[in-house]
Amino acid sequence: MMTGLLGLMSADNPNGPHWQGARAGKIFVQRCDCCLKTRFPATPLCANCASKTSTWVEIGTTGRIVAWCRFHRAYFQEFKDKLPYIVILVELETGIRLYANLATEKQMTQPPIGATVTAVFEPLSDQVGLIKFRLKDIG
Amino acid sequence: MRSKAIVTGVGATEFGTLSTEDAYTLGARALNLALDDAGMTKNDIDALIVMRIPEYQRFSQLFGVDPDMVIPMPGQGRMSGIAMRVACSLIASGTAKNVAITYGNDGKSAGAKYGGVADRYAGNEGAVWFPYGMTSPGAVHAMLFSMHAHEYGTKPEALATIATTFRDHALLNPAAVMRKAITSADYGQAPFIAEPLRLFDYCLINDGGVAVIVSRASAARDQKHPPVYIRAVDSASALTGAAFPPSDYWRGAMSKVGTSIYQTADLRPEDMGALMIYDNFSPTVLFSLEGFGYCPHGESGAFVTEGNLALKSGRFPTNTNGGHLSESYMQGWGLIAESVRQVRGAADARQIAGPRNVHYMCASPITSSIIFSDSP
Repeated sequence: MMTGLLGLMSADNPNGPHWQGARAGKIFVQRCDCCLKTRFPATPLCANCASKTSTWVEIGTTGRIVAWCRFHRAYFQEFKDKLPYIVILVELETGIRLYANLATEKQMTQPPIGATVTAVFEPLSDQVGLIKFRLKDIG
Repeated sequence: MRSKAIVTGVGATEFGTLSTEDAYTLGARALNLALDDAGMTKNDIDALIVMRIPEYQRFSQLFGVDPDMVIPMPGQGRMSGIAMRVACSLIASGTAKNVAITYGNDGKSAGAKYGGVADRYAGNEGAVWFPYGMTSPGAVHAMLFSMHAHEYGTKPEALATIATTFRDHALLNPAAVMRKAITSADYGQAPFIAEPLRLFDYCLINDGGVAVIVSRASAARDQKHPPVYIRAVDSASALTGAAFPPSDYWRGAMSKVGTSIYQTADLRPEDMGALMIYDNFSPTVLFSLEGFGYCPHGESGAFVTEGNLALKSGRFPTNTNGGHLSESYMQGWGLIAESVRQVRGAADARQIAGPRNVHYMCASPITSSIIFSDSP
């Protein structure tokens, strides 16, 4: 990728550990040190107990597709040559929700809502990566 | 708070690309029209709510007005119902006699865009989704429709019916920006933006201004127009999960607000003569019909396709001005102005035949609803 969006993923960004985790093939989210509730994206306070301290922890990589859409218009320079592309909303088994892309869109008319998906990881640089999902059965 | 407040004045500028105007001049023109309509002068305003106009101080200087209270509010459609609720509260509590709300929008000329790195629909969280190409309120609504289609089998034909019906209404509205008829075939041939949504599922960004004056119900006898009672108004929020499409299509908030306003107004869906549904994107119309009890959950697609929203032949004429999809995206204010016209019997070729109870509803991270009526 591309400086613009890559800049949003740098180590000094509040979500830096998440993007570094994806580079290492893991899904990292914040866990409140006080009430142990997990959350993502990063926030400075726990919305459950208002604690300011948290730790980045690894969570499971399996979930299900909740919703989808396919972009036919380029809102980002970096996606201009990828049109049209699909974004899915995934709910992981831990309840954490993520927008992400499919690992492959081959012959995909509509992503199957409810289907089980597993994360695969796409490095973007030495430092950071993206999380993509593949359908468990189809691959 | 039943019918403590009435709408005494309403004013709207023309809508479109108005490059010689800005939010201040549009808001000021609309407010002058609303004051004229109410038979008031600017000195009668004791509370002023300024919407989407960047600086309230500059607006007050420009308009030459020193109200006792000024409340600036952000230019978001979800705030329009809140502004109306605040105005009614100020009236009901005796804090103010006349509350003026003025909205000025120069988004078209200023090049306002939704989607992209500056998009704030998901707040700070947007930055986490941009690397996947996810952005814009339209895409969130596309996802909501994908969920509804999966859960209930809702067809794109329902969206086509919404778009073409509102366009038919706009043909009767000289103020509407879109005045060329569209067919279902046109709908289906229009390009996808965020699939499954197409061009005609999106509202129209334009310049324009709208102002509303809310006064004590006792002022009704001094009015040249038939009174427009704000028979009930309420709101509820679902902000904590607002970065994602809500799993319940905002039903929780709508159920709470609906129960409250139907009880306060002592009116039910079947008593309404027209509906004004916040249509930033066409699927919101479906969710609102279900959430406010016009049809059972999951059945809005069929309800719409059967023709219930059409002005002349439908059971619940909806967005008789053309709505945000075909009149102009005035973030709720065009719909509120049309509610007033319908209750007054001043909607010309668009005048409804049924009872003059008009139900405004906005389903969003802040859900709000108002029932306007010709009787208290």
